[in-house]
Amino acid sequence: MPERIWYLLSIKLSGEATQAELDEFHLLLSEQPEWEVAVQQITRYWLQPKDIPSFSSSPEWVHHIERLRSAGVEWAEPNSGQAAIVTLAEPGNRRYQMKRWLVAAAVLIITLGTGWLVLLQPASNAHELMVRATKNPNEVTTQPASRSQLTLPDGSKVWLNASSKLSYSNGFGEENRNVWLEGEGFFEVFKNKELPFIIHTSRMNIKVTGTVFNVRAYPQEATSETALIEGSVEVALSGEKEWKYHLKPKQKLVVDDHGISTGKINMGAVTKFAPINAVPSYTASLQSLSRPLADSQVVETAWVYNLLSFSDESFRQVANKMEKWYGVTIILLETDMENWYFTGSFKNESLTEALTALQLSTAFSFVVKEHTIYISKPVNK
Amino acid sequence: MHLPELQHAIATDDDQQAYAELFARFNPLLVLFTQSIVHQREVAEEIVSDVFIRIWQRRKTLDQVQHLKMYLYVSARNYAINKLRSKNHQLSIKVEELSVDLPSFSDDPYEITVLAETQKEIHRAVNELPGRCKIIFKLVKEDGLRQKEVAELLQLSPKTIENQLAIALKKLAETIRNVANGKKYT
Repeated sequence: MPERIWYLLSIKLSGEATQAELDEFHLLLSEQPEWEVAVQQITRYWLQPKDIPSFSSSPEWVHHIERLRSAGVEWAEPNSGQAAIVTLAEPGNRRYQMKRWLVAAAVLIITLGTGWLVLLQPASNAHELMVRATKNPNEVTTQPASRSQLTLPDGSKVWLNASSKLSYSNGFGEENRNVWLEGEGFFEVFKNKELPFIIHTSRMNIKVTGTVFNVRAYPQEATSETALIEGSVEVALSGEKEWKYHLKPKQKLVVDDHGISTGKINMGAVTKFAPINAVPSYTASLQSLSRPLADSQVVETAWVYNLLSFSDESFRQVANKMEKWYGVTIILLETDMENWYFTGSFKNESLTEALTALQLSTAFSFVVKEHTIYISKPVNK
Repeated sequence: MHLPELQHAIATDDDQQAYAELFARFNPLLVLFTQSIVHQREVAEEIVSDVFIRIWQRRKTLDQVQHLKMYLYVSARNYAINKLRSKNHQLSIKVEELSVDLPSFSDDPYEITVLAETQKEIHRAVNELPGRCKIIFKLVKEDGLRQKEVAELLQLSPKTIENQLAIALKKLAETIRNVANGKKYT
């Protein structure tokens, strides 16, 4: 059991000490001057201003209001269409910006089985992407084996799967809400009855006012599909203006080059946040596409305890944690590498697997000698 | 606005702005706390959102709540346990499995450079505290809960909270002393 002085310090810091207890604390401290510096430093640490965001236009708030509305609550306050993206662009709210930019190594999720990881792009890239999303041309693309999430100026959220492209028109959020998609996207459309949100793909156009759904429309693939999670959507096939389909939740519309079919998805307990297709395979059949949905529970339970996790942390911080976790020394041979940022979680991965996973996000080389890992920039491109 | 004023404004005036402020003030902390129980960020966000939805739906009775802050935490905890219960038949928090990440220090490079090395060491040491110890430390320091409230929230005895906090502080003090000693000899 720790000495009384530490208990007294704790109630002093939490503001629960009586005068008598404070006196006792100072007396004990004067008898043990070797702790004086430590007590000062801890007090300083404790009293640091807390970083509590005071704005109410965060993506979390926008999302909450959307959920509030879908719970049947009338919420009249007009939400500024620009809110989310403006908030994201403020440097002070960088936390919100970064954690949303997920680049997942989907292949690893499958090969590692119980392993799970989400990697973040280096901060600078993510920021660049963010800025690009606010400018012309309004276009965001993702690389193979990577995913991104973005918040559009109207508050809608889009998760982009690997090798996808999303662009949107000028005047988006004000005059119209038109987007063009090549590839796969998971949409959480902010409710706005006046301005329908329309997704244009090569085979179909999807019109919604506010809902959650997935669209898969890779040009290389023989089929395209719209899977509805919440709300309702209207799908019109390109070139067939008369044909419109109204989907109900948990239904999906599959369009292939030979015709049209509807199928049902067994959704299990998928949360609407979950990007539902983790397979960046272009040859995925209908069956295998719905599997990640049904199996999302498995992915969820892979989120088990004792994760080695870091959130938007510098390479140095990540290395520090990995040093502790794996009992090794990690040396970053070039100091500017310390400014690379990562977010991720590991469980059963070996050190080599974890480092290999990090390499997917940012290229670097590593050499293992005994219990020391030397990390350098890629030798040659 | 102070918390009781926010509470009153929400209850009597249907004040949406006050509600937004309440959300902004507590959502990040509640999500972290809830995440320490359910271990999934998205699930935690939904749980906390549900808590706030209920607050708004039942705002007319909000003035009867004695201690709104604690009410929010306890609601989040109960929702989280219900979620776990429906999944694993788990009936209470498994305290040994609680895990939480403290908000990292500012990412601003300027602040990072000027921040004293010792403070960084402390933060590192805090993050390396055992899970239960860390969440108790966090709830008292970051969330500003009283020790008794933390005991109630985590369903632990007040004595355990006292001990865990004292252990945490002693560890931090030792870290600081080691840093100071290390510097002397180099």
